[in-house]
Amino acid sequence: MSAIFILNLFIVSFLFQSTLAPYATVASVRPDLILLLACVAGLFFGRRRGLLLGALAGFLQDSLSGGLFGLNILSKALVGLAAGALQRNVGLHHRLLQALLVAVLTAFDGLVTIVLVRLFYGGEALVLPTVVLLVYQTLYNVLLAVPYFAVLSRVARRYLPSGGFADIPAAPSGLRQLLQRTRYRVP
Amino acid sequence: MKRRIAKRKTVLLVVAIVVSSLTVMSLDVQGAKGTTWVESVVVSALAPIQKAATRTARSLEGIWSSYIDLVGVRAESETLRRELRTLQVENNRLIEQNLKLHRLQKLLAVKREAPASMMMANVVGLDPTTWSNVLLVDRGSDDKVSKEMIVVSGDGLVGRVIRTSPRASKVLLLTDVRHAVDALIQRTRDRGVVVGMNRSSCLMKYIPLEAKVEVGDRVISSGLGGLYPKGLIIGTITRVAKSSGGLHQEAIVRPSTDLERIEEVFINAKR
Repeated sequence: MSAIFILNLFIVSFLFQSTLAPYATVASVRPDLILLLACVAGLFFGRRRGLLLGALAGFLQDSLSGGLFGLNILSKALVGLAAGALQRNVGLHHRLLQALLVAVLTAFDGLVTIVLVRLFYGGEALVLPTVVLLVYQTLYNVLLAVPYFAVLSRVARRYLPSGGFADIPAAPSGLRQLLQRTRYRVP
Repeated sequence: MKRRIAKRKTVLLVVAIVVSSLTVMSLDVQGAKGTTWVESVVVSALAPIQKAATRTARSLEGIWSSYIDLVGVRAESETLRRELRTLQVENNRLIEQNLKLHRLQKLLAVKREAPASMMMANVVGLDPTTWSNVLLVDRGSDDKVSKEMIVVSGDGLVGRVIRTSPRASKVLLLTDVRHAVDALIQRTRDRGVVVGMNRSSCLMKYIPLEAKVEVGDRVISSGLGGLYPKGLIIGTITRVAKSSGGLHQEAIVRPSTDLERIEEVFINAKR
Protein backbone atom coordinates (compact mmCIF):
# COMPACT_ATOMS: atom_id res chain seq x y z
CA MET A 1 0.00 0.00 0.00
CA SER A 2 2.86 2.35 0.86
CA ALA A 3 4.45 1.73 -2.54
CA ILE A 4 1.18 2.51 -4.36
CA PHE A 5 0.73 5.61 -2.22
CA ILE A 6 4.19 6.95 -2.96
CA LEU A 7 3.97 6.01 -6.66
CA ASN A 8 0.69 7.90 -7.02
CA LEU A 9 2.16 10.83 -5.14
CA PHE A 10 5.16 10.86 -7.49
CA ILE A 11 2.95 10.75 -10.60
CA VAL A 12 0.59 13.50 -9.41
CA SER A 13 3.43 15.71 -8.18
CA PHE A 14 5.44 15.38 -11.39
CA LEU A 15 2.45 15.89 -13.66
CA PHE A 16 1.52 19.03 -11.75
CA GLN A 17 5.08 20.31 -11.56
CA SER A 18 5.83 19.76 -15.25
CA THR A 19 2.56 20.99 -16.69
CA LEU A 20 0.73 23.41 -14.41
CA ALA A 21 3.44 24.84 -12.14
CA PRO A 22 4.81 27.22 -14.84
CA TYR A 23 1.30 28.72 -15.10
CA ALA A 24 1.09 29.20 -11.33
CA THR A 25 4.09 31.57 -11.42
CA VAL A 26 3.82 34.52 -9.06
CA ALA A 27 6.62 37.13 -8.99
CA SER A 28 8.87 34.79 -11.03
CA VAL A 29 8.37 32.01 -8.45
CA ARG A 30 6.85 28.60 -9.14
CA PRO A 31 5.39 26.30 -6.51
CA ASP A 32 7.79 23.46 -5.64
CA LEU A 33 5.68 20.35 -5.19
CA ILE A 34 8.77 18.18 -5.47
CA LEU A 35 10.16 19.75 -2.32
CA LEU A 36 6.87 19.02 -0.55
CA LEU A 37 7.07 15.47 -1.89
CA ALA A 38 10.56 15.05 -0.41
CA CYS A 39 9.25 16.43 2.92
CA VAL A 40 6.38 13.94 2.89
CA ALA A 41 8.77 11.08 2.06
CA GLY A 42 10.82 11.93 5.14
CA LEU A 43 7.84 12.55 7.42
CA PHE A 44 5.92 9.44 6.40
CA PHE A 45 8.66 6.93 5.71
CA GLY A 46 11.58 7.96 7.91
CA ARG A 47 15.09 9.23 7.35
CA ARG A 48 16.61 6.64 5.04
CA ARG A 49 13.61 6.29 2.74
CA GLY A 50 13.20 10.05 2.84
CA LEU A 51 16.78 10.38 1.66
CA LEU A 52 16.38 7.85 -1.16
CA LEU A 53 12.94 9.02 -2.31
CA GLY A 54 14.15 12.64 -2.12
CA ALA A 55 17.15 11.76 -4.29
CA LEU A 56 14.87 9.98 -6.79
CA ALA A 57 12.47 12.95 -6.89
CA GLY A 58 15.45 15.29 -7.36
CA PHE A 59 16.79 13.14 -10.18
CA LEU A 60 13.46 13.25 -12.01
CA GLN A 61 13.20 16.99 -11.39
CA ASP A 62 16.69 17.49 -12.79
CA SER A 63 15.70 15.47 -15.86
CA LEU A 64 12.72 17.75 -16.42
CA SER A 65 14.31 21.05 -15.64
CA GLY A 66 17.20 22.69 -17.43
CA GLY A 67 19.10 23.57 -14.28
CA LEU A 68 22.44 22.28 -13.09
CA PHE A 69 22.09 18.50 -13.30
CA GLY A 70 22.56 16.86 -9.91
CA LEU A 71 21.61 19.92 -7.89
CA ASN A 72 18.13 18.70 -7.06
CA ILE A 73 19.36 15.14 -6.42
CA LEU A 74 21.50 16.53 -3.62
CA SER A 75 19.14 19.13 -2.23
CA LYS A 76 15.97 17.01 -2.30
CA ALA A 77 17.81 14.01 -0.78
CA LEU A 78 18.95 16.23 2.08
CA VAL A 79 15.44 17.66 2.43
CA GLY A 80 14.01 14.11 2.72
CA LEU A 81 16.68 13.16 5.25
CA ALA A 82 16.14 16.29 7.33
CA ALA A 83 12.35 15.85 7.34
CA GLY A 84 12.75 12.23 8.45
CA ALA A 85 15.24 13.14 11.15
CA LEU A 86 13.03 15.93 12.50
CA GLN A 87 9.97 13.72 12.47
CA ARG A 88 11.91 11.05 14.35
CA ASN A 89 13.19 13.42 17.00
CA VAL A 90 10.43 15.97 17.36
CA GLY A 91 7.26 14.69 15.75
CA LEU A 92 5.65 17.03 13.26
CA HIS A 93 1.94 16.31 13.39
CA HIS A 94 0.86 19.89 13.92
CA ARG A 95 0.11 21.92 10.81
CA LEU A 96 2.09 24.86 12.15
CA LEU A 97 5.18 22.72 12.64
CA GLN A 98 4.76 21.25 9.17
CA ALA A 99 4.55 24.74 7.67
CA LEU A 100 7.64 25.73 9.67
CA LEU A 101 9.43 22.63 8.41
CA VAL A 102 8.57 23.54 4.81
CA ALA A 103 9.80 27.10 5.36
CA VAL A 104 13.11 25.93 6.82
CA LEU A 105 13.65 23.25 4.19
CA THR A 106 12.71 25.57 1.29
CA ALA A 107 15.25 28.07 2.58
CA PHE A 108 17.79 25.26 2.91
CA ASP A 109 17.02 23.98 -0.61
CA GLY A 110 17.39 27.50 -2.01
CA LEU A 111 20.65 28.11 -0.16
CA VAL A 112 22.09 24.86 -1.51
CA THR A 113 21.05 26.06 -4.99
CA ILE A 114 22.60 29.51 -4.54
CA VAL A 115 25.86 28.10 -3.18
CA LEU A 116 26.20 25.42 -5.85
CA VAL A 117 25.27 27.69 -8.77
CA ARG A 118 27.76 30.24 -7.45
CA LEU A 119 30.37 27.50 -7.02
CA PHE A 120 29.93 26.02 -10.48
CA TYR A 121 29.15 29.15 -12.50
CA GLY A 122 31.22 31.72 -10.61
CA GLY A 123 30.76 35.47 -10.49
CA GLU A 124 27.98 35.92 -13.04
CA ALA A 125 25.49 34.16 -10.77
CA LEU A 126 23.82 37.05 -8.94
CA VAL A 127 23.30 36.56 -5.24
CA LEU A 128 20.91 39.34 -4.25
CA PRO A 129 18.13 38.67 -6.79
CA THR A 130 18.41 34.98 -5.96
CA VAL A 131 18.01 35.67 -2.24
CA VAL A 132 14.89 37.75 -2.97
CA LEU A 133 13.58 34.84 -5.04
CA LEU A 134 14.32 32.52 -2.13
CA VAL A 135 12.18 34.60 0.22
CA TYR A 136 9.27 34.56 -2.27
CA GLN A 137 9.74 30.83 -2.84
CA THR A 138 9.62 30.15 0.90
CA LEU A 139 6.41 32.15 1.31
CA TYR A 140 4.80 30.44 -1.68
CA ASN A 141 5.72 26.94 -0.51
CA VAL A 142 4.48 27.61 3.02
CA LEU A 143 1.13 28.84 1.69
CA LEU A 144 0.91 25.73 -0.44
CA ALA A 145 2.04 23.40 2.36
CA VAL A 146 -0.94 24.07 4.62
CA PRO A 147 -3.67 22.66 2.31
CA TYR A 148 -1.22 20.11 0.87
CA PHE A 149 -0.49 18.50 4.23
CA ALA A 150 -4.13 18.72 5.28
CA VAL A 151 -5.24 16.74 2.22
CA LEU A 152 -2.32 14.33 2.29
CA SER A 153 -2.66 13.50 6.00
CA ARG A 154 -6.28 12.51 5.37
CA VAL A 155 -5.37 10.33 2.42
CA ALA A 156 -2.47 8.78 4.32
CA ARG A 157 -4.65 8.03 7.38
CA ARG A 158 -6.95 6.11 5.13
CA TYR A 159 -4.51 4.26 2.92
CA LEU A 160 -1.24 3.89 4.80
CA PRO A 161 -0.92 1.11 7.44
CA SER A 162 1.05 3.45 9.70
CA GLY A 163 -1.66 6.09 9.35
CA GLY A 164 0.81 8.46 7.77
CA PHE A 165 3.65 9.68 9.89
CA ALA A 166 6.74 7.62 10.64
CA ASP A 167 7.11 6.33 14.20
CA ILE A 168 8.42 8.59 16.88
CA PRO A 169 10.86 6.82 19.24
CA ALA A 170 9.71 5.98 22.77
CA ALA A 171 12.28 8.19 24.43
CA PRO A 172 11.27 11.76 23.72
CA SER A 173 13.91 14.27 22.77
CA GLY A 174 14.47 17.55 24.55
CA LEU A 175 12.34 19.51 22.10
CA ARG A 176 9.52 16.98 22.34
CA GLN A 177 9.59 17.25 26.14
CA LEU A 178 9.53 21.00 25.83
CA LEU A 179 6.51 20.82 23.53
CA GLN A 180 4.77 18.50 26.01
CA ARG A 181 5.53 20.87 28.84
CA THR A 182 4.00 23.74 26.90
CA ARG A 183 0.85 21.60 26.56
CA TYR A 184 1.42 21.13 22.89
CA ARG A 185 -0.50 18.03 21.82
CA VAL A 186 2.03 15.38 20.85
CA PRO A 187 0.46 12.13 19.74
CA MET B 1 24.32 -2.77 17.60
CA LYS B 2 21.51 -2.91 15.03
CA ARG B 3 20.90 0.79 15.49
CA ARG B 4 24.56 1.57 14.96
CA ILE B 5 24.63 -0.43 11.72
CA ALA B 6 21.48 1.32 10.51
CA LYS B 7 23.00 4.70 11.36
CA ARG B 8 26.18 3.81 9.48
CA LYS B 9 24.13 2.74 6.46
CA THR B 10 22.36 6.11 6.45
CA VAL B 11 25.67 7.98 6.73
CA LEU B 12 27.12 5.92 3.87
CA LEU B 13 24.05 6.65 1.75
CA VAL B 14 24.35 10.38 2.44
CA VAL B 15 28.05 10.34 1.51
CA ALA B 16 27.31 8.35 -1.68
CA ILE B 17 24.55 10.75 -2.76
CA VAL B 18 26.64 13.85 -2.00
CA VAL B 19 29.69 12.53 -3.87
CA SER B 20 27.75 11.24 -6.88
CA SER B 21 25.62 14.37 -7.26
CA LEU B 22 28.68 16.65 -7.02
CA THR B 23 30.42 14.51 -9.65
CA VAL B 24 27.39 14.72 -11.98
CA MET B 25 27.26 18.50 -11.47
CA SER B 26 30.96 18.86 -12.34
CA LEU B 27 30.49 16.79 -15.48
CA ASP B 28 27.42 18.85 -16.40
CA VAL B 29 29.29 22.14 -16.06
CA GLN B 30 32.26 20.85 -18.05
CA GLY B 31 29.85 19.70 -20.73
CA ALA B 32 31.13 16.13 -20.45
CA LYS B 33 27.79 14.80 -19.29
CA GLY B 34 25.63 13.92 -22.25
CA THR B 35 21.87 13.57 -22.00
CA THR B 36 21.16 10.49 -19.85
CA TRP B 37 18.72 7.94 -21.20
CA VAL B 38 16.44 8.61 -18.22
CA GLU B 39 16.50 12.31 -19.08
CA SER B 40 15.65 11.48 -22.70
CA VAL B 41 12.82 9.17 -21.65
CA VAL B 42 11.41 11.67 -19.14
CA VAL B 43 11.62 14.56 -21.60
CA SER B 44 10.20 12.53 -24.51
CA ALA B 45 7.38 11.10 -22.38
CA LEU B 46 6.43 14.41 -20.84
CA ALA B 47 6.82 16.58 -23.96
CA PRO B 48 3.40 15.62 -25.43
CA ILE B 49 1.73 16.02 -22.02
CA GLN B 50 3.40 19.38 -21.54
CA LYS B 51 2.37 20.37 -25.07
CA ALA B 52 -1.26 19.47 -24.32
CA ALA B 53 -1.14 21.23 -20.95
CA THR B 54 0.43 24.31 -22.53
CA ARG B 55 -2.28 24.44 -25.18
CA THR B 56 -5.05 23.89 -22.61
CA ALA B 57 -3.65 26.49 -20.23
CA ARG B 58 -3.35 29.05 -23.04
CA SER B 59 -6.89 28.39 -24.24
CA LEU B 60 -8.17 28.62 -20.67
CA GLU B 61 -6.32 31.91 -20.29
CA GLY B 62 -8.17 33.19 -23.36
CA ILE B 63 -11.54 31.86 -22.20
CA TRP B 64 -10.97 33.23 -18.70
CA SER B 65 -10.24 36.73 -19.98
CA SER B 66 -13.29 36.47 -22.21
CA TYR B 67 -15.34 35.44 -19.19
CA ILE B 68 -14.06 38.38 -17.14
CA ASP B 69 -15.29 40.68 -19.90
CA LEU B 70 -18.70 39.16 -19.50
CA VAL B 71 -19.05 39.81 -15.77
CA GLY B 72 -20.16 43.42 -16.32
CA VAL B 73 -23.14 42.43 -18.43
CA ARG B 74 -24.77 40.11 -15.90
CA ALA B 75 -27.94 42.15 -15.94
CA GLU B 76 -28.52 41.49 -19.61
CA SER B 77 -30.85 38.73 -20.66
CA GLU B 78 -29.76 35.09 -20.57
CA THR B 79 -30.30 34.68 -24.29
CA LEU B 80 -28.09 37.62 -25.07
CA ARG B 81 -25.46 36.30 -22.74
CA ARG B 82 -25.49 32.87 -24.35
CA GLU B 83 -25.23 34.40 -27.76
CA LEU B 84 -22.42 36.61 -26.58
CA ARG B 85 -20.55 33.63 -25.14
CA THR B 86 -20.81 31.77 -28.40
CA LEU B 87 -19.52 34.82 -30.19
CA GLN B 88 -16.76 35.20 -27.64
CA VAL B 89 -15.58 31.65 -28.16
CA GLU B 90 -15.69 32.16 -31.91
CA ASN B 91 -13.99 35.51 -31.52
CA ASN B 92 -11.37 33.98 -29.27
CA ARG B 93 -10.67 31.34 -31.89
CA LEU B 94 -10.31 34.00 -34.57
CA ILE B 95 -8.11 36.15 -32.36
CA GLU B 96 -5.90 33.13 -31.69
CA GLN B 97 -5.67 32.47 -35.44
CA ASN B 98 -4.94 36.10 -36.12
CA LEU B 99 -2.24 36.22 -33.45
CA LYS B 100 -0.70 33.06 -34.78
CA LEU B 101 -0.71 34.51 -38.30
CA HIS B 102 0.91 37.67 -36.97
CA ARG B 103 3.59 35.66 -35.15
CA LEU B 104 4.26 33.48 -38.18
CA GLN B 105 4.51 36.54 -40.41
CA LYS B 106 7.08 37.98 -38.03
CA LEU B 107 9.01 34.70 -38.00
CA LEU B 108 8.83 34.57 -41.78
CA ALA B 109 10.36 38.02 -41.94
CA VAL B 110 13.20 36.82 -39.72
CA LYS B 111 13.62 33.71 -41.83
CA ARG B 112 13.84 35.79 -45.02
CA GLU B 113 16.65 37.86 -43.54
CA ALA B 114 18.35 34.96 -41.80
CA PRO B 115 20.44 32.22 -43.35
CA ALA B 116 18.60 29.19 -44.69
CA SER B 117 19.94 27.13 -41.82
CA MET B 118 17.25 28.33 -39.41
CA MET B 119 14.50 25.96 -38.37
CA MET B 120 11.25 26.72 -36.63
CA ALA B 121 10.32 25.00 -33.36
CA ASN B 122 7.24 25.09 -31.19
CA VAL B 123 7.54 25.75 -27.47
CA VAL B 124 6.01 22.74 -25.72
CA GLY B 125 6.88 23.41 -22.10
CA LEU B 126 8.36 25.79 -19.59
CA ASP B 127 10.84 25.00 -16.83
CA PRO B 128 9.02 23.62 -13.79
CA THR B 129 11.37 25.16 -11.23
CA THR B 130 12.05 28.66 -9.96
CA TRP B 131 15.81 28.25 -10.10
CA SER B 132 16.27 27.91 -13.84
CA ASN B 133 14.62 29.57 -16.83
CA VAL B 134 14.46 27.03 -19.62
CA LEU B 135 12.09 26.28 -22.50
CA LEU B 136 11.35 22.88 -23.95
CA VAL B 137 10.97 22.90 -27.75
CA ASP B 138 9.77 20.16 -30.06
CA ARG B 139 12.96 19.84 -32.15
CA GLY B 140 15.76 17.57 -31.07
CA SER B 141 18.82 15.70 -32.23
CA ASP B 142 16.69 13.94 -34.88
CA ASP B 143 16.32 17.39 -36.50
CA LYS B 144 20.07 17.97 -36.14
CA VAL B 145 19.68 20.32 -33.22
CA SER B 146 22.78 20.35 -31.05
CA LYS B 147 24.14 22.09 -27.97
CA GLU B 148 25.08 25.78 -28.15
CA MET B 149 22.84 26.53 -31.13
CA ILE B 150 21.31 29.96 -30.78
CA VAL B 151 17.57 30.48 -30.47
CA VAL B 152 15.74 33.62 -31.62
CA SER B 153 12.18 34.79 -32.11
CA GLY B 154 10.62 37.41 -34.35
CA ASP B 155 11.33 39.97 -31.61
CA GLY B 156 14.94 39.13 -30.84
CA LEU B 157 17.25 36.87 -28.88
CA VAL B 158 15.74 34.05 -26.82
CA GLY B 159 18.74 31.99 -25.66
CA ARG B 160 20.75 28.91 -26.59
CA VAL B 161 20.27 25.16 -26.68
CA ILE B 162 21.78 23.43 -23.67
CA ARG B 163 20.48 19.86 -23.97
CA THR B 164 18.97 17.75 -26.69
CA SER B 165 17.08 14.49 -26.81
CA PRO B 166 15.86 12.89 -30.06
CA ARG B 167 12.62 14.85 -30.32
CA ALA B 168 12.98 17.75 -27.91
CA SER B 169 15.56 20.24 -26.73
CA LYS B 170 16.05 22.47 -23.73
CA VAL B 171 16.76 26.15 -24.39
CA LEU B 172 18.49 28.24 -21.74
CA LEU B 173 16.73 31.60 -21.74
CA LEU B 174 18.59 34.86 -21.49
CA THR B 175 16.81 35.52 -18.19
CA ASP B 176 18.47 32.49 -16.57
CA VAL B 177 21.12 33.29 -14.00
CA ARG B 178 23.65 31.11 -15.90
CA HIS B 179 23.23 33.06 -19.13
CA ALA B 180 25.50 35.94 -20.11
CA VAL B 181 25.85 37.74 -23.43
CA ASP B 182 28.22 40.52 -24.44
CA ALA B 183 26.05 43.46 -25.48
CA LEU B 184 26.01 46.94 -26.97
CA ILE B 185 23.70 49.85 -26.30
CA GLN B 186 22.55 50.57 -29.83
CA ARG B 187 22.39 54.38 -29.57
CA THR B 188 25.60 55.11 -27.63
CA ARG B 189 27.61 52.01 -28.71
CA ASP B 190 28.67 51.43 -25.09
CA ARG B 191 29.40 47.84 -24.17
CA GLY B 192 28.37 45.69 -21.25
CA VAL B 193 27.37 42.18 -20.31
CA VAL B 194 23.71 41.19 -20.05
CA VAL B 195 23.17 38.52 -17.41
CA GLY B 196 20.00 36.74 -16.31
CA MET B 197 18.51 37.10 -12.83
CA ASN B 198 15.94 34.26 -12.90
CA ARG B 199 13.34 37.03 -13.10
CA SER B 200 11.47 38.42 -16.08
CA SER B 201 14.20 41.05 -16.65
CA CYS B 202 17.98 40.88 -17.11
CA LEU B 203 20.82 43.00 -15.73
CA MET B 204 23.31 44.78 -17.96
CA LYS B 205 26.60 45.05 -16.07
CA TYR B 206 29.91 46.83 -16.65
CA ILE B 207 28.53 49.83 -18.58
CA PRO B 208 31.19 52.58 -18.45
CA LEU B 209 30.46 55.37 -15.95
CA GLU B 210 30.72 58.06 -18.63
CA ALA B 211 28.13 56.36 -20.86
CA LYS B 212 24.96 58.43 -21.26
CA VAL B 213 22.48 55.63 -20.98
CA GLU B 214 18.79 56.42 -21.01
CA VAL B 215 15.64 54.50 -20.24
CA GLY B 216 14.25 53.15 -23.50
CA ASP B 217 17.67 52.56 -25.10
CA ARG B 218 17.79 49.38 -27.14
CA VAL B 219 20.38 46.71 -26.28
CA ILE B 220 21.80 44.42 -28.96
CA SER B 221 24.37 41.62 -28.98
CA SER B 222 27.90 42.84 -29.67
CA GLY B 223 29.11 39.76 -31.51
CA LEU B 224 31.96 39.31 -29.03
CA GLY B 225 32.13 36.08 -27.12
CA GLY B 226 31.86 33.92 -30.21
CA LEU B 227 28.41 32.46 -29.72
CA TYR B 228 25.90 35.13 -30.68
CA PRO B 229 26.20 37.12 -33.90
CA LYS B 230 26.29 40.91 -33.75
CA GLY B 231 23.05 42.87 -33.90
CA LEU B 232 20.52 40.54 -32.32
CA ILE B 233 18.02 42.58 -30.32
CA ILE B 234 18.20 41.66 -26.63
CA GLY B 235 15.81 44.17 -25.09
CA THR B 236 15.17 47.67 -23.84
CA ILE B 237 16.61 49.45 -20.82
CA THR B 238 14.00 50.14 -18.16
CA ARG B 239 16.19 51.40 -15.29
CA VAL B 240 19.76 52.69 -14.88
CA ALA B 241 21.82 52.69 -11.68
CA LYS B 242 25.43 52.85 -10.53
CA SER B 243 26.94 49.50 -9.58
CA SER B 244 27.47 48.81 -5.87
CA GLY B 245 31.24 49.42 -6.23
CA GLY B 246 30.60 52.63 -8.18
CA LEU B 247 33.05 51.75 -10.99
CA HIS B 248 30.40 51.01 -13.60
CA GLN B 249 26.77 51.59 -14.36
CA GLU B 250 24.18 48.86 -14.33
CA ALA B 251 20.86 48.75 -16.15
CA ILE B 252 17.77 46.61 -15.99
CA VAL B 253 16.93 45.28 -19.45
CA ARG B 254 13.48 44.04 -20.38
CA PRO B 255 13.85 41.32 -23.02
CA SER B 256 12.32 42.23 -26.37
CA THR B 257 10.69 38.79 -26.51
CA ASP B 258 7.96 37.96 -24.01
CA LEU B 259 9.68 34.82 -22.77
CA GLU B 260 6.78 33.70 -20.61
CA ARG B 261 4.34 33.71 -23.52
CA ILE B 262 6.55 32.71 -26.40
CA GLU B 263 5.06 29.98 -28.61
CA GLU B 264 7.36 29.63 -31.63
CA VAL B 265 11.10 30.11 -31.98
CA PHE B 266 13.85 29.76 -34.56
CA ILE B 267 16.86 27.57 -33.93
CA ASN B 268 19.96 28.50 -35.85
CA ALA B 269 21.09 25.18 -37.25
CA LYS B 270 24.52 26.40 -38.26
CA ARG B 271 26.92 27.75 -35.66
